[in-house]
This record gives sequence, structure tokens and C-alpha cells, in this order.
Amino acid sequence: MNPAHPPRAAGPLRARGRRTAVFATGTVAIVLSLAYLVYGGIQQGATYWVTVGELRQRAQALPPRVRLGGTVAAGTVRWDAGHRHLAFVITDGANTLPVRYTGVVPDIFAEGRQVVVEGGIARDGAFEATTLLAKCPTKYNPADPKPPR
Amino acid sequence: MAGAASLGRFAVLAALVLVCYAIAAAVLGARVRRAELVASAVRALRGSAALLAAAALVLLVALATRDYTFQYVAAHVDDAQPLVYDLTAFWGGMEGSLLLWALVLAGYTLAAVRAVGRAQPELLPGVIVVLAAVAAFFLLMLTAVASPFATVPFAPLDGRGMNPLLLNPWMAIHPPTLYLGYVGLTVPFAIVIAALAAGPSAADGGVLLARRWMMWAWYCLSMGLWFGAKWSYVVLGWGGYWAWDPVENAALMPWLIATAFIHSVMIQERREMLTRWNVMLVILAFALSIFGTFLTRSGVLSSVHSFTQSPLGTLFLIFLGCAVVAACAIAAWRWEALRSRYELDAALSRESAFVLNNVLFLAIAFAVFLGTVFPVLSDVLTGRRVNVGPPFFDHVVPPIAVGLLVLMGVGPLLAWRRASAASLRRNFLAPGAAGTAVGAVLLAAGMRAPGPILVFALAGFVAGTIVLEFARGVQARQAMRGEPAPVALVALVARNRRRYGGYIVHFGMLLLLCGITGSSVFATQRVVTLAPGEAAAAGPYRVRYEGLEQTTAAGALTIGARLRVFDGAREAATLVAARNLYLNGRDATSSVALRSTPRDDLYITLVGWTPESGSGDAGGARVTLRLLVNPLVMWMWAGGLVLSVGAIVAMLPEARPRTVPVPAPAPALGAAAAPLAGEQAGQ
Repeated sequence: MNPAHPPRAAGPLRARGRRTAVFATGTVAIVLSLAYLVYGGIQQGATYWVTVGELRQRAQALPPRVRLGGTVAAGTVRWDAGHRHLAFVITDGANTLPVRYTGVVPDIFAEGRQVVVEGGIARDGAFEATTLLAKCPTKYNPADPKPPR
Repeated sequence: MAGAASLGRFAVLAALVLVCYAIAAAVLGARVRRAELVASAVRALRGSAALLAAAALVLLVALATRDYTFQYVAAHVDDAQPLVYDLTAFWGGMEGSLLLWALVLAGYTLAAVRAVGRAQPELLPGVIVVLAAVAAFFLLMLTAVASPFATVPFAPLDGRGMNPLLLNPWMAIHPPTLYLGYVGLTVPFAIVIAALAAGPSAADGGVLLARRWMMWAWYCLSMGLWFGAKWSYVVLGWGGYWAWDPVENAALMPWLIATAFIHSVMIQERREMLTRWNVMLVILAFALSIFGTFLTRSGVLSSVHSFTQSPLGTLFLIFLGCAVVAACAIAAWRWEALRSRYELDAALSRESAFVLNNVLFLAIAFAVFLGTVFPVLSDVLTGRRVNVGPPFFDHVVPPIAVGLLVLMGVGPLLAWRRASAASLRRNFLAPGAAGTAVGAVLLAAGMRAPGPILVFALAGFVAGTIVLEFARGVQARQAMRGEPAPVALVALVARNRRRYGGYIVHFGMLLLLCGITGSSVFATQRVVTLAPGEAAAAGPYRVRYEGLEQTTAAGALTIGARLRVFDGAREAATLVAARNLYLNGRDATSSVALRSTPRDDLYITLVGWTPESGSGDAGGARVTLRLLVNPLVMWMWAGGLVLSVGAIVAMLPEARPRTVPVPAPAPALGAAAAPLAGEQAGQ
């Protein structure tokens, strides 16, 4: 059902020029809006990724909101009575930092697990987290520990 | 059972040898033009498929019999879990997933060889080479890096079992469905590369032949994403269905590219334009499917410090690089032959709407890609790992999605080649009124947020255009043949399956977008602590806590809070929100108390509990509950169903005689590959 198309480069030259201008303007507009959107998104969403050691050493030099990765230190997980507020100590092996968190705790959160918390240092020096992510051991399938002998 | 494991290892190794032979035979056969050589390559592929099936059977038997001498079985199965999840453990880990990938690819390869051999036999050697090369990579991984058949001399008494979160029906079908989609993207890639290699004249037909396969892969990806969202919502207990997690994004990106292709290939069919663009989309979709596997399996983004824990990630990246470079080189070699004979006639036309649609899909894919790899990118560029997370995606994606929503309504109403102002007025009057009415009603009902009003009004507009298209078609049939309306409707859809199936898919997307908008903008949540008999309000509901109960089953202790839900004065439901604690020390899981209605979902999780001091009775404990009200979620799931129906309608082979004679006797499947120029007739 294809109608007979005019071959390439048919039509008056001026109409082609105007069409090209329309498409060029459209392309530029789309690219600029996308760049603007992405820029705004990065402004809103960017959080620096730091380790416990870095945060201890130069907390002042870092932005107020960071993403901190580490391991939940064994024997440090404390809940309040209603299981609403969580406190634990995060460690990178050498340094430690107390963390406070209120909100949904992922089911896979546990001592010895790798976690990522987002937030900042509070006045008392503890890390006040607004987001808590635990690394799912099966879904990402890291190298399995050697089975005990 | 070392014998079985050896059999599995041998089968994979032999399959690898056979696909390598297939590559050599197909290349040589194409060179010296000997059909017997190509035929022997096909036989080798059949043999490798049979060997892989045997290998899969070995693993399945080991899983079903809980043969813990297999390291893979010991890592993913235990004595306590139900048998059906022993079998789904096949894709519960990396090695099994790779084997599943290879097996699915082998199945696709046989189907593709059959279909291509009938439709365009000159492409057969190329298709064999590409598919066999991809298979060879996966088989090499299965042999050398991640063998599911590794054994230990002394079996442990019990396995470690699967993560309880994965013991769920949605999770049982989500990975294989997604894999069917991922691997399915390899077939269009192989066909297009083969067409480019075969000659300047074959490329156009190759892209059109690839369309049907792309459609299938797109359908599987859609369903896989849908199942994954459902699992996340029902099982994970955080109250959402999409977290912009790298693993989710990895599946979304090829879906976006496949969606773009399904649209732009229509322009190629009708107007013989955009061939180059379509070729690049097919290559990109394949590259993203491999990239997605790399993301999910390498741990490059999920881990906090270490770059990769297994060499698999690096090998995937090398394979990806080689495939993309080779594909682009072939495309560049044929670039001039792919030049379109025609160009866009006017800025306001169906074609330009399709082009814009493609640009927007690519823009979303680009934004998702950027957001996903941002930590790695910033690490490389600035030496500092910076994460952009959900706020980035929530800022960038919705505006582009609204643009696509506009196009979904405008596109079908624009004339091909050049739209006139008069036809626009005529076409846009009724749907525009429908959209305006929806917006006005929402404003009158007190909704003030501009974003949702815009989305719902646009959804009304698009729904109006879809209804208009159906109504016009039915009226035309009624006028021409005097059929009653229902008969005319069925006949209309049956005669133009792709077109009207597409509209049904669009309608499903509308429901999906409305559900997403409602649940992400208007969701409310609160955390409350209640003693037995106390109640808390959540949106229109009142939730009364009756008491705590304990049950034990299959290695798990379940602590459940009995809840009675009142909707206004009426008692609406009795629910239990529970935590499952596992006796073998695995992580606890949540059982969500969920009540779904078309208006909203009441979603309650048990956060914690404290026994009443002094009383030993657990029933008197105070509990902390998280109460969420998520509006319109049910429409999301309904949208997925409608989308599925539309996609099936669009994919069913057209039941009409072939218009183009094919020299070889080719029943049934040949029609699928015949040029589809006249298919969308009658617009």
C-alpha cells in the first residue's frame, strides 16, 4: 500500500531548507532540555561515596550528605523498644563509626553484612542515616566464602 | 555421584566443540558456496542443543535429589525447602543462570535457523556464525570460569539453601522470563549482522525479518519486568515495586531500546526510511543485554569497594567490547547501502512523530544508563565515587515519559507524510475534549498537584484517541459489510492484528502510567506502635491490632500481628502482618498484610514487637507497624495484563495468504517473514 514516493531531493529548495531548519532546531532543543534535566537530576541526587576512614579524618571537607559503605560490626546492633529506631556501629575494618537510623530496615540487614547508609554526621559525632541499604548476598552473588572444613 | 557431574562437564565441553565446528563450517560453507557444509553446521548446532539439554537435565536431577556433592546444589538447596524451589534453584545462582542462558540460546538458535532457512536462506551462514559465537562465549564461561558441575569429595550433610526472599512464585518465574527476553535479543542481532554481511541488498530485508524476533524479546522483557516488580512489591516488604536498582535498570534499558525499535521499524516497512537507525538499535539492544548481565553478575556497582570478585565481569566486558566493535565495523562497511531512499516530507507527520518517539525512548535509556554507571563514571573521571540514586531518575525520567504520553496520543492521529490543519482539527476534537474533561473533573474534585493532573488528563486524551481509532474502524466495517458492532470489532482486530494489538498495548501502558503516577505521588505512610485493642488511622482506613500469634512451619517461626481493617464504618478485612524467623539462622523475612482495591492498596508490615512486661502471654505484646496506603497500584498490574493481551494479539501470525511468492516450499512460518508492506492497510 505504499504510495508512490517522490524521489530524494524533490521539491523546491526553499521548503527543504525550512524543513532542515525545523529539524535542526528540534534536535538542539531536545539535546539542551535533556542536558538541563540531567544536570538538575545530578544536583538533586548526587551523594558522595565515602569510607568510614575518610569520614572520620576529614568530615568537614565533605558535603553534608554522603553515602557511606561498610560492614555492620558484630554485637553492636541495638533496637529501641518499639523496633523503630536502630543503632549500630559501622566499620571498614580499621575505623568505626556509630550510626543511627529510623525507618524501614531491609530484611537482609544483619551483623557482619555489608551496608550502605546515606545521611550525614550529627552534632554528637554519630552518623544520622536517612537511607539504609543492605547488600543482598544471593542476588548479586559475590564470591562465596570457603565452606568450613 | 561424580559420574553425573562428569557427564555434565563433558556435555558442556562437547557442546562448545560443536558450536566452534559450526562457526568454522558456516564460514567455510559461505566462502566456497557449499550447502552441505552449512547443513552440517546446522546439525552441529542441533547436537550442541541436545548436549546442553542433557547437561541441564544432569543439574536438575542433582537439584531434585539434593545431591550435595555438587557445590552448586549445596549452595542453593537445603533439606527444608519445598521441592519446586529445588528446581527453581537452577537459576538461583550464577553458574546455573549461565547454563540457563546457554540453553535458552540453543533453543532460540534452532528456531532461528529454521525460520531464517525458510525466509532468507542466504542469511543462514551469517546467523549461524553469530549465534554460535555468542554460544561459544557462554559455553567457555561454563567450562572454564563458572562450572555448575564442580563437586566436592565429601558431601555436606545439608545444603545452605536459597535466600528465603527468593522462595516465591514470582521469583521462580521472573528470572527465566527475563532471560527469554535478554537472550531473545541475540536473534535479531544475529539476523541483522548476517544481513549486513550477506550484501548491500539483504540489509533491508534482514531488519524486517528481525522485527518479529525483537517483538518476542520485547514481550518477554516486559513480562519479566512486570513479574520482578510484583515480586519486589509483594515479597520485599518495603512498599514499592521499583527502586532504580542497577539490576532493575539493566533490564529496563534493553526494553526501552526494543520498544524504540518496534516503533521505528514500522517507518522502515512503510516508507523505507530509518534502516541505519534500526540497525543501530538492534546492535544497541543486544549490547545492553550483555551489559545487563555484566552489571548483575560482576558486582561492579553493587559492591562498595572491590571492583570485581570474579573474573566473569572482566570477561563479559571484553566480550561486549569485541561484539560491539565487530558489529559497528560491519555496519560501517555497509553504511552507504543502508542509506534511505526517501526523507521526511514534513515536520508535522506520522513519520516525524515516530522519530521523536524514538529520540525520547533513547533519551530515557541514556538517562537510565548515565544514572546507573554514574558511580563508576565519576570514579574514573574525578577519582571520587558519586552516586545519583532515585532522586536523579525521578527528576529526569517523568518529564520525558510525559512527552512520550503526548506522542502516544498524537502519533496515531497524524497523517503519514504530511498532516493538514483541517484533519488535525477533526481528529483532535473528541480526544482533546476527553482529556480536558478528565483534567477538569480532577480539579473540581480537589486535586491540585500539576504533575498528576497533567498525566491523568493526557491519559484521558490518549484513551480518547484509542477509542476513536477503534470506533472508526468498526464504523467503516459496519458501513461496508453491514456487520453488527461486536462482530465488526472482532473482525477488525483479527484483520489488523498488529495495529489494533498495538493500540491495546498502548491502553495497557496508560493503565500502567496512571498506576505509577497515583502510587508514587499520593502514597502515604506512617509508623505506629499499638497495644492490643488499639487502632490507628491510615488514609481512609482504620487498622485495629487484635493480638500477636505464633506459628511454626517448615523450619520457620512466624510471628504475626492479627489486624482488623475498617473502611469508614464498615469492617473491610482481617489481615495478618508477619515476620518469618528461620531456625537455621538465615535472615528474617516479612509477610506483608495487603488489601488491594481498585482505589488503593493498604500495605502493612510488622516492624517489631515488645512483650507486655509482667505477662508471659505473647498475645498481649505491643507491636510497631508500618502502614502504607498506595493508591491505584492495582491498575499497574492490570496494565501489565492488558499489555500482555495486546502483545499476544499483535504477535499472532497473520492468517492471510502470502502476497510474495517464496521459491522454496515454505508453509506456515514463511508468511511471518514475508514483507509486510500492506499489513497496515486501510488507514
